[in-house]
Amino acid sequence: MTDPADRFLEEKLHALARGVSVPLVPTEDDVRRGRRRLFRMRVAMAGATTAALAVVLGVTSLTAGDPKATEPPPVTQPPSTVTSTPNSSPSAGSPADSGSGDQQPDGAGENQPVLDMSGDPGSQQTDDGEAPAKNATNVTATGTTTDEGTSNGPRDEPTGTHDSDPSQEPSSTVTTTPTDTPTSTPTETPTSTPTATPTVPPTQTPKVRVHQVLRYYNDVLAEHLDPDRLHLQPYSRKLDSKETTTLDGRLYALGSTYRWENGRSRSGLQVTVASGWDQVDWLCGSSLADWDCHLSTSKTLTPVGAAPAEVATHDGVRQVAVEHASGQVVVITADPTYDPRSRSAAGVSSTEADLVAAASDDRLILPGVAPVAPPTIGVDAFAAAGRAALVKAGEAFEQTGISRTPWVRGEWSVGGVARGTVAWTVEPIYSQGGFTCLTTFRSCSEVTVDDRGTTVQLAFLKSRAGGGWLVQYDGGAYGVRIYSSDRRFPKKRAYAFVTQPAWQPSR
Amino acid sequence: MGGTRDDGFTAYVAGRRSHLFRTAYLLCGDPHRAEDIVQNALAKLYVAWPRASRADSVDAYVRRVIINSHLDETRRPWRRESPTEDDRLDRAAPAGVAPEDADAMWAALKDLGPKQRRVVVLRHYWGLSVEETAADLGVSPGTVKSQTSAALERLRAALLTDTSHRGARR
Repeated sequence: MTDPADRFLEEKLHALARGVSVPLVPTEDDVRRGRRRLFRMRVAMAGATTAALAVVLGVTSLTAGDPKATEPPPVTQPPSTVTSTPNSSPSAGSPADSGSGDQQPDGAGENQPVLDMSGDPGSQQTDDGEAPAKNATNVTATGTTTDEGTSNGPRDEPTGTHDSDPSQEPSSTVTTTPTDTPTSTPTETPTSTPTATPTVPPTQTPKVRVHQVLRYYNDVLAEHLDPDRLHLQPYSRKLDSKETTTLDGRLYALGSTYRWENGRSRSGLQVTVASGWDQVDWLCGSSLADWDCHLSTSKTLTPVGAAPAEVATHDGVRQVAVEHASGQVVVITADPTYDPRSRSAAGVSSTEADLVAAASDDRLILPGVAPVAPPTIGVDAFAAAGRAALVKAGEAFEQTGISRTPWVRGEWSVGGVARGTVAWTVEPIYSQGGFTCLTTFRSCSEVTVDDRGTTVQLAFLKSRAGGGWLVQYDGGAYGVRIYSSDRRFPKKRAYAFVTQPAWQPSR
Repeated sequence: MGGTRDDGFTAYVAGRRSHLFRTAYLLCGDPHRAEDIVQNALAKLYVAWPRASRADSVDAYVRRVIINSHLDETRRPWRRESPTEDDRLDRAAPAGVAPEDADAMWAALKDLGPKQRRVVVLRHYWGLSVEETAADLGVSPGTVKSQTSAALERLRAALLTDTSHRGARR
């Protein structure tokens, strides 16, 4: 700045600045603006702090405790409540979306065969010694066991009822009965056990979560068929199918086809859990199917009160079906030709006994409040009773079709003269098998058939629909129906047959 | 606390507001924008008053705020708008040459780039050293020296041209 030229510049600059007219602004205005800014900053900081705190607390509350809280419980845990749902439907909930990617062989689910299904499934599972043992384990126990390892202290408590696997029940009493075993305090931190919420299997939760249930099914199957997880791939909602059958918002069947991989080859393991036989395409016993069927000899593996497992082999596929005591039916299909791109499908190598054991696992149940199917009516008894009630002396009935629905069809003849087709069948009421006056009916009417006021539905079919008439009685369990293509067939025989109490069993 | 803050701040504003406004005006050349810059700087100063007053660097703080505010203003999208040169548009008649514009010094200052103008204002209006200017601007002293030299060169040339050919640039 010693340069005169620079000094000149500086003086000019100051002179220029002095020439600027400064606006008169009250100092109070600047103070007020400063206060506002300070207030805004404090409010913003308080809001940001509150929001950050809320986020931290939210994340903490969501992630605190058992990280597997939302996952299905480990399959090594016997969920106690699963076995306690025979007659009373499982729990609550509503089924998920509808649609069914059905990969089972397509065919008439009503035409079925001669397997003796008359055995009453019953519902006496609580008499089994194992059921109370599982109940002793209780719901609160199952989820926490594998996550924290085996808790040592209170492990002794339920062993009075547990007979088999001690690893299945350890930590249960940590949360359920802490006062009974004061000396054996668990070593785990009690805060790490998020009590009962994660222990409920997805089949027992009030809200139906289809994908979690399918993942749970997968784990159950893996326990029986592939404990080391060498072949059965974990369920993936993106890769595995979701096969559901819904009606009026209720879930009647749920299943999936899991990937069974063996090296480069891929096969499929399909499982379907249905409310009853009417919801599965099980063609054993159908006169229209050419299935090789037999009853499984692995009776010890079937659940108590359940019918013997059925095994079917057809088209290179092995299928196992087990009706549980609750009436729900589990069908497992081992399909070696699942992936057509596979050049040498190795197939599911599980034995029949393994498949039966898996299908008999009482953890494979429908989630939520599942519809309850009525007890199955034995097809042989149904066919015989129909013959006795509908065919009189001088008449003949030649059976042409039968299925386990049960459904019986044949040609009715009088004096050697064919008069037409007569068929009798039942449809479960719980799956909306009640009478409906169809457009193919010429007329529909209600007929009172006895002094007690019992009414049946009578419909005459249009000629293009085959003519004849149809009588149906809707009872509490089944809608019993008789069809005759010959109008001259005596309806009174039909009335007497359809109203028999034997066709309305209760579970 | 509030009373202390208000008292000190009020005293500072009462004594330095004109100087701050002139600084902003020299930087941006627009009285309205200069007032905006000063108000913004003083509002920030009020918030930071305890810290700035404790460090005894109130002037330095406000200077930096003004410099940065001016920089921010020049970066705002609406500041990048340039007036149309379409002569067909209707416009008001020229109001005559402002006294500041009549001054060759002012014209030369406006011709400087923003960085050079900031250096000139800080060094020759505020009287800061090279190091202080460098610290305020966040640049190296060498940069301050080079920009000062270049700015003075341009100012000298402009003033010389103005002296010998006054009005020729108009």
